[in-house]
Amino acid sequence: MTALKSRVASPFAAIWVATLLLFVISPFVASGSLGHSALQGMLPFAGILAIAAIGQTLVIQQGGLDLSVPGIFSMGAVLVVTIPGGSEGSLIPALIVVAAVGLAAGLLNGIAVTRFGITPLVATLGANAIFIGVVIQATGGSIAFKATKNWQEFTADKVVGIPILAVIAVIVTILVALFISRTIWGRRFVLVGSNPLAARAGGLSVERYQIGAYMGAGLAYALAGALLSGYLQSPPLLPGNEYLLPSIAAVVLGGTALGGGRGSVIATTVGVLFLSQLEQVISALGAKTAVEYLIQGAIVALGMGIRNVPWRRILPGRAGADDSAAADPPTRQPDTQTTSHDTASGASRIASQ
Amino acid sequence: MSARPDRSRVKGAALLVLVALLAALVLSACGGGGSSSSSTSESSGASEAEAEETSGGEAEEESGTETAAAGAKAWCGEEGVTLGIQDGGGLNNWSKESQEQVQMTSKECPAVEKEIVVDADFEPQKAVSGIQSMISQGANAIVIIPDSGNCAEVPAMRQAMQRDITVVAWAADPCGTEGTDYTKYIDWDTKAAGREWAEWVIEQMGDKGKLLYEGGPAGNTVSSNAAEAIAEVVEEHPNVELVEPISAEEWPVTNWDPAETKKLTAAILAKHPEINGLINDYGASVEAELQAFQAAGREIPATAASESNALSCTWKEEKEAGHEFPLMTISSRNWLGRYAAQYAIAEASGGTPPDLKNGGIFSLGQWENSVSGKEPECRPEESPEASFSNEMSEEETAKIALEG
Repeated sequence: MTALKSRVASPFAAIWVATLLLFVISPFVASGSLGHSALQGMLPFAGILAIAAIGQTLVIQQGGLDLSVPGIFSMGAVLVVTIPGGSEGSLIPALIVVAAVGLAAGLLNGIAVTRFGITPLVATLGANAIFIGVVIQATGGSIAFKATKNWQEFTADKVVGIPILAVIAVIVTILVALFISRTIWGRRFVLVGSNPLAARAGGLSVERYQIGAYMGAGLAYALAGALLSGYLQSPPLLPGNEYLLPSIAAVVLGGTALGGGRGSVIATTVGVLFLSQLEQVISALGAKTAVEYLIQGAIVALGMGIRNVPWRRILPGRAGADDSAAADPPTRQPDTQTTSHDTASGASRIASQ
Repeated sequence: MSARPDRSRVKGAALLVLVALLAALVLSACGGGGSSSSSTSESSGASEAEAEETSGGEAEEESGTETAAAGAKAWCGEEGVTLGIQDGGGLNNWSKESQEQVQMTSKECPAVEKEIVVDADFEPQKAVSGIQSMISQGANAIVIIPDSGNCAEVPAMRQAMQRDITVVAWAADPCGTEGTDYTKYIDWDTKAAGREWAEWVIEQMGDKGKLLYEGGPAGNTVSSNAAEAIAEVVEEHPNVELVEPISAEEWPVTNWDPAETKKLTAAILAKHPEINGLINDYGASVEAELQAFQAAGREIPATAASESNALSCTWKEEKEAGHEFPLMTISSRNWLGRYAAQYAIAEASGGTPPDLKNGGIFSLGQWENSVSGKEPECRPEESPEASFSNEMSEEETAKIALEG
């Protein structure tokens, strides 16, 4: 019962409820927005966004913010097409290079933030400009090839009728969630994000974990870009531009604290599902572009803002009740999905494991 | 973050540089740029010296001395020309082809002594500062695609005109007044294109059924004019209805982006079980639209769009698979840049400007037509966005653009 209460009270529960509600009302608000065809059209893009957003979650959980999504995403998209140049045999090496470049780009971000103490906002913004410059310089302004047939077919494939891109996103989500909640490195990762000082006092190399978060994020963006290339067959030059804001919005809607510490990749993926279905409903309603942006913006702002309302003060009856969703805590809470730790004692316990 | 010892900072810096270099190397090695569609045979090889250009920046090139057979061109006078070439965008194959067409023409005229190239990356500020930079560098002719933002270039173009610089706008509505804000405006007739597409598709639909039009970013004049013309044609056919309402102000927006197009089309397909004809004003995004039909297991209906290699290749693949669909395209019109360059160079060098039809706004007619006429051409080895109408000979383009 206590476990159930704690789950319901979890800051990550809100997005589950909101998404469930959205799916329930979708067919009534906009007929066809929940049909087979609509879901088949929505899920692959949701899958790609989810993978990118998982990367963003890792960084935000470490108290950072990654604005280099467009650059790294676009590098992944371009590399997976230009390295093979239409030759099927070069696909695997291309994917290895995509992964390596994603990791290297993340390393660059991580070093800039940790070693040079540059604010994540500035460091990743600058790095993004470099990555975009590299893409433009390397391609000369246009992509000369289509994705290889194998990659096109793989990304358009279905597993038991479900688009493979959505399946991949679910697998990545589960693996990352398990890693964070079930491994020592994962628990230490959470500790470093929630209280770097305590982690350092406990003997952990904070910078290593922070750099690791940026590298994991870089890998996720590059992979997402490569998958989009295959799915679109002929990707545009900078497809990552469309993924920056939604990736941050999904993370925040999911309940991950912008200040770091509290985070859940599962909730982020549900946040992506919410955003994607919302787009589908608005589009099915035939809203004009401006209205579409307004509704999306308002819902995202509401979703983010509602967490910052001081509910305890407004609703006296709720004092002492759950309000972990209210206001990003000044001292970060080191809980992921279900577990929470007392920072001081948790720090030494996890560090000593 | 906390302060680190100096040694660690140095190590970090070295690592940082190494990572940046590695990333740049990998991309440069495997990139190498797109082999865009080649230019006309008669002049593309005139000079090997390409202006080195960086996106958002400028490049200069000394040219003209190596050019042959220039004396025959009436538009090429004798006074020296410093030619400014600006694109409001610059980061896609369409822009690349457009620039190529302008430069190819300028190389035919020895009077052109220098080229200044600016890409504005759809940033109005860059577009304005680009024009001002051309003025200060002594450009006496500017060929510009003024599409960086909502009429953003007008004040800077007027400034250039006040200094007796020839300004020829092309491929995007310059918004201002001829004679005050620019010397000449050369473009395709987008309303005529809309009518051409709509009439052809409706004919393929057997004069009945549902027609879907998808256009570019909200507010752009190409999609607005095309949408208006298509809506007019549909009104003339009582048995044809539009899948989604369109007008000069409103249409399903693809943003000319393949991902957006695919998402939009999937949502529309979910709502409408029957669609009998498609019109899309950007060839490269119509490919994504057709993919959405394929993904939904729906037959591709009659399609009219701007030309693109990828679109033609999709048509060919479908035909070979036994799912042929009627396809008609209109030229992607980069070759209009030749006439823009000729006009600007003529005005600045003392040559005779070309005698353009209809004041410089052309009805392009059909480029490819799978039902009757020129079959869509697919070249898998070339860029998916390549446009082969740019290979038209001088005689072929003259039929469309010149009087007599």
